[in-house]
Amino acid sequence: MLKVKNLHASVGGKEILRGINFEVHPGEVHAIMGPNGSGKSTFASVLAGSEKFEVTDGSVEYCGENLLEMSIEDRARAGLFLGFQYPVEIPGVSMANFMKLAIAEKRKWEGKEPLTPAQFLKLMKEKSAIVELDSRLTSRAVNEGFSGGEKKKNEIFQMAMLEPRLAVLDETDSGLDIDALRIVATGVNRLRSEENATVLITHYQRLLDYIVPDFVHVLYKGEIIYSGGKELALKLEEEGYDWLIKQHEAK
Amino acid sequence: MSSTENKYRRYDLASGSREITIADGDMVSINLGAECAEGERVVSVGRGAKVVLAEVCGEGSAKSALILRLAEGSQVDMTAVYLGEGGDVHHRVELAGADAEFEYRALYIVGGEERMNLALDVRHEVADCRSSEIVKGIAAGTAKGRFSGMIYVAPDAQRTAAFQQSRNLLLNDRAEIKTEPQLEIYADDVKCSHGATVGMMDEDAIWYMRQRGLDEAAARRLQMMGFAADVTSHIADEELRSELEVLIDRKLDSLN
Repeated sequence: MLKVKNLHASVGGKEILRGINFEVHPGEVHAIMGPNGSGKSTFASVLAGSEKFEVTDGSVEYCGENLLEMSIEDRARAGLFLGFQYPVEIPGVSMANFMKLAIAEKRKWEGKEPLTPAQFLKLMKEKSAIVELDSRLTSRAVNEGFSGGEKKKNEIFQMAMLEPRLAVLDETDSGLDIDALRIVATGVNRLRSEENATVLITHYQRLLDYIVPDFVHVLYKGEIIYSGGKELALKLEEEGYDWLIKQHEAK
Repeated sequence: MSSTENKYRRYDLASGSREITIADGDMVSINLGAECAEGERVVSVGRGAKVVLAEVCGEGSAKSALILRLAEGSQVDMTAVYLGEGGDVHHRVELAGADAEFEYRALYIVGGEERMNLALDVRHEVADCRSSEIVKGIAAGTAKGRFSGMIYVAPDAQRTAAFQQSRNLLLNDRAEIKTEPQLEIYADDVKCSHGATVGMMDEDAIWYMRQRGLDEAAARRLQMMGFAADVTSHIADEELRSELEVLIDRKLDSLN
């Protein structure tokens, strides 16, 4: 589904990603961990097509297409979803209206008929229940006046609405209390299927108690320096990253 | 206001009429029309009357000189929208009876080489009145917008509450909006505030919308509609509101 080869990216001439190799297949859940400033969020943004970063080398293949040549919106329509670490407020634009437009674009891309208003409302209701999102929030402006937890739930709600093939969730667990974390994790687990895949970018092992990954990767200074199974997250929680960094630097 | 909208009687405006008098206790909605009148118009609102006022200019250059006089306990809720080719608008509001209340929402959009000049003069002449204003401007091309907002509070106008906000969006760095709040306050027991911002489009919001599948033009359009929504969403008259949305859409199209 996703094949990242030797990906390099920089911002303002400063190289952040220094040769990432990474592969995701349908049905898999990957966790990307690593110390602060290692490039985790940059990697997520580059996959989604952020224009803040310049890709200087490498290739990314997504469902057989050259991802790096696709526009931001085409990547989204083709099923790549980024759960934002800091969801953006859009004053005056209601969640419902925003989702209506987003779903219409996706269906157009897939060559499907647009949803009828009744179908759309039903979908909104169904999906907001998955993340226990207060239905009043969907009539409010996008993220405006939402609490930190509501913003994160709202990201998972949008993910549920758009049913992505590949969801990249950037620090979706940060700033969540244990109840919100459980709700968000339950939402993500319910959306798991054999056809789609999830990449969780996280600082903490905590989230991985709720969403069990198939693979855990450690990103350090813009490179994946180590990959393992779900037990790696526990080891990192206990022992930190130092042993890996030393091992890496010894090479 | 929407739940009580049906109680408002539509006031038929005779063409060319310069003086409009609303009787004490009356509840009316007045549409001052898309063709902006030349010369000065005066609307006198009687005691305890409630008026919903709209001034919409959809084409041509707006020319409006309006004086509103509010008697004791009256309420005026005014929406002013200018989507033609800019223009010159002077609104003077006299809160002349205690406990009068004035609410004002204005929006203008200018592009090309258009010029918009909007002057609002809110005069608290007696005690215990409230006024609240929000004025929004969008400028593209090499257009220029200017808002001068005066809040005057007379020496006897104690316990006045007066708020003014000016929010502006520039679509490029050649367009220009000047916003000039002026406060003249002669009473000491008042609550007054004003705020003004002039900003560009929020590129983070554009990125966020594109990540959800909207193309860049649609994302920019949606952000502008959202910016205008503060003004349009308060209009209780559905017909007027949808008419305005069409006009805004058309105006935004013309900016490209």
